[in-house]
Amino acid sequence: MAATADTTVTRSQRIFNALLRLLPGDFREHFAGEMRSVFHDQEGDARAAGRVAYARFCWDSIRGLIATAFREHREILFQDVDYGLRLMRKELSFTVVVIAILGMAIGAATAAFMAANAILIQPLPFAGGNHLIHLQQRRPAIGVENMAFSVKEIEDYRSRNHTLDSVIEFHEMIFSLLGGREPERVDTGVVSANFFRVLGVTPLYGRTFMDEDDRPNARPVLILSYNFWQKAFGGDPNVVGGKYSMNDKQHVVVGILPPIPQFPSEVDVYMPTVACPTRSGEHALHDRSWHMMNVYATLRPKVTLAEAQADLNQVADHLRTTYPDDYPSAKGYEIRLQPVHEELAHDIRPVLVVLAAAAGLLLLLACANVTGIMMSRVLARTRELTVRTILGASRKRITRSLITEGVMLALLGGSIGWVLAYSSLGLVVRFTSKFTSLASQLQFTPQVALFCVLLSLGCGLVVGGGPALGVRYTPLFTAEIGNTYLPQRISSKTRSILVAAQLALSVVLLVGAGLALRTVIHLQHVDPGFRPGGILTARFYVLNEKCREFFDQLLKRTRNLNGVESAGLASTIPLHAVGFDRPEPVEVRDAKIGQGEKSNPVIRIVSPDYFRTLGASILQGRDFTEQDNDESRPVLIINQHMANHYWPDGNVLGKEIAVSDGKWIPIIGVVSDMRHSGLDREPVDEVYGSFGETRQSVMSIAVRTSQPLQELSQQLAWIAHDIDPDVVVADTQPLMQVRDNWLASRRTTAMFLTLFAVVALCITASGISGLMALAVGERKHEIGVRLALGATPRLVIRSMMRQVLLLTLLGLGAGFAVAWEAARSMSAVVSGIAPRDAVTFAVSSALLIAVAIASSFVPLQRIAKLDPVVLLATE
Amino acid sequence: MGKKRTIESYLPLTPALFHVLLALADGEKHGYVISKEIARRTDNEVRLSTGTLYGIIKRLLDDDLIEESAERPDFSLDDQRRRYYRLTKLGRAVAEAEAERLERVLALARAKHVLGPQSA
Repeated sequence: MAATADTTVTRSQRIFNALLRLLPGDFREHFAGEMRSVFHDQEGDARAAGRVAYARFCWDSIRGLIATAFREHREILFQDVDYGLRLMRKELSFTVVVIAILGMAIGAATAAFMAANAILIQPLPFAGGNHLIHLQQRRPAIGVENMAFSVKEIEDYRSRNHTLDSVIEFHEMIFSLLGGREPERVDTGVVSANFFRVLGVTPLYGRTFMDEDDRPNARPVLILSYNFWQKAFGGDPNVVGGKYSMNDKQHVVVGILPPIPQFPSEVDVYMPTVACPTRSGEHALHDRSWHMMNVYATLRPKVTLAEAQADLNQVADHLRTTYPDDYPSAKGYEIRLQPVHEELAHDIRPVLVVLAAAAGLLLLLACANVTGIMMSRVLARTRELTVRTILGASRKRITRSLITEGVMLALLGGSIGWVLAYSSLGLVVRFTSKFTSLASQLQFTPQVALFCVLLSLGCGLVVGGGPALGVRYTPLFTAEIGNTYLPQRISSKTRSILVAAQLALSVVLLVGAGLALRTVIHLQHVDPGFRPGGILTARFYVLNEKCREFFDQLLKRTRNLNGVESAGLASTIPLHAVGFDRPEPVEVRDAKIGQGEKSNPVIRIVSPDYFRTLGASILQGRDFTEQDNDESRPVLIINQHMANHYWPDGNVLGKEIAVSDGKWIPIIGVVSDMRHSGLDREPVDEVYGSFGETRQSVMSIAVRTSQPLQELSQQLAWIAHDIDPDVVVADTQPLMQVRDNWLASRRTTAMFLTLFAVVALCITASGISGLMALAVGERKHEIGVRLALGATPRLVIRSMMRQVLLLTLLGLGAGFAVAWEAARSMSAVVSGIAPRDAVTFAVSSALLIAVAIASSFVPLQRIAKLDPVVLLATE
Repeated sequence: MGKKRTIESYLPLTPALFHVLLALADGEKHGYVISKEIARRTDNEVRLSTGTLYGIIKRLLDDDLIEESAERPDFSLDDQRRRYYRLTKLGRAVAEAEAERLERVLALARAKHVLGPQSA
């Protein structure tokens, strides 16, 4: 019995001792021993009074100790905050500078987190968003990575798989919607009936599609997207149940979607697959090669991506063996499962990583800078801190008050950062939307706010903790009041290290910004192979069989317009991300090299004068003419890249190429290279066929004119609708604008990086300037002696400048090493120049050295004004 | 710290604080005895845990209402870990002022018949 009691006492004591650590250090130092003794005595009484009394005693002891600890800490915090606020008011300029520096850095980091969190971390805003996968058919032998599905293929994958929960399909069409205020060209998402059910979308009004809506001869129904409903119907809920004409059929609006990010792309209205005339046509339903639909799926519970991949591989094997004509081994055929989240974030991930890293470096730099400033400030307060020590404040207590000051400054900076990040939301959304549709998910959420607060607290601990450590480990309190020489020396060394670190971080940011800027400049000056100025482009969808007649008339009437210099048609216009470009395998006869080698050039259809309109040159042979039509012998033009590839001797004309049908077609011309898929993409092999020999229902026009393009775009639409009222005109825009839009994302990335680098440079400059001011103050006596002994101020300045240069070179060296390694991961924002571009590295170094010299110049100039007599007398 | 506080500025005292002052009114005591006396005098209604008691003692020390006593009891009865506390002049004045304040409150309660007449 006695043994048990002893054990219990020991355990209770141990718990009590552990809980005593919750009390502030000073409190503990003063009362802990006594408290242990009282606890021991009280515990004895409680045990004697019985179990209930003992249990109550234990509870009261724990509660009382925690409450006292909380109260004591709160009191100290209030005292420190009050003291800190008074100091901030007293040194207002210091406060403002520190808050501004931390605010900018915390704001940048919070904005970067806001984007990364919404796009890379948060799940997709759909039911089971992170389990949604994209099914992609590939033809690896000819480089096709994402071939759309035919109806037959969807049926096969739907019926033969054992791992997919739901399979949904989507394709986009453009139709004319009649019956509203005016005829509207509407982007239409054609979806399977289970589309919204699988994505977990609940309509704002009405209902989503039901299985009955997607059966043959079902009554045509529509669902409106929120934005289209607002734009076209002014948000009138009575539109549900309304009838609107589309494709010569009456469609009933059955629902309106809530304002959610649309997936996989933004459209105006949705219809079930049976309502789409193309999708429900004979060809689409029975032709296995009628590839048109995008297919998504969710996995069955507990099925992994790898298991699903293996399962669908078997379906693909089945298709290959059952339909060898549709899946020839020459083209290869595979199925690939890609998580949708990964796919949507694919383009922006590397850019966000670079920007987040830059924001992180800026934050580190700001912390290093502010820590340096705080250290100088603590030195300036040596006398005050020593007095506080003499009056009884312990080191721990002073350390704590310094950390509180740091945290207060960082929280104030954080509030500026909060405002900056919040106000940058629109800009960040605009920027990220150039890369991903997930941009619409970006919001200043409570998570972002929490991140901002935690980051501020972290920064506060760093910038307050640095000087506090200095106080703990320097003989500050043993120094005589007024004699602060020793701690100053120690702090000056630490500040030098901090400034060198800032210089190093600045180099990394400067190099990053330099590489991004040089890339933009390079891309702006890269010769795309066409002259975009003065060209208007537009795409036309002809919804009936008379497409040839339509395009013939369109070209003829456009060419007759006032100011039009030339006009031509093409299946795709450069830099338009429409996706009609498909590499096709061709055979090449009489090639000088690469004989027998498979070639997958991109095949495009163009009209006569298209090349001249774009400003491309016919290097050999001739352009297509009106005579190159379906009544003449087919002919082809190839680009220079392909000519050099197969016939480097230049003897190209008359050589023959066989496209998919195996007929040999002669080459009649060679056209100069154009960068079709992007200014940063090198030209690839291209084959051009004559528009006159084909029947294309979707073509783009390029018109070169001396007239204002705005006027021409209206005339084009008028002419098109005059020829065929049902034709859909889309993407009417100047080619220059297309090029600028393409460049915009790169330009904005470069702008952000440059902004970070400029801020970093300014902060570093202030750090160097502060360090030099400190050095001059610290070495006044020595300077006074040197001046008195005859040294000129210039000599003294030069010797101190040497110190700055040494520090700069040190920082530069460290920064160079990091930037050298980091440059390789910059490939997302670098093109056309080497990631370790010598010019960028050289200019960054020169700029940094210049800034270092300039920023130390002002404090060093003070030396010239020093009077040695006064100085030595004061000392 | 430098500012002198009036006695009134300490009032009203919290019950626990007042009890500690009352416990010290008849002489110096160490922590355990203070808590024991408070429990005894209030029929265990007010029981101060160690944490609460020393939170109060610290506040009273900071406010100069009590002080540590240098006098120790007889060596045979002494425990070196214990500190003895006693009221300062200011502490006694504040305790008196609080008692008077409570008396006035009681008188008011009686006048308003919230409390019965004082028993003899």
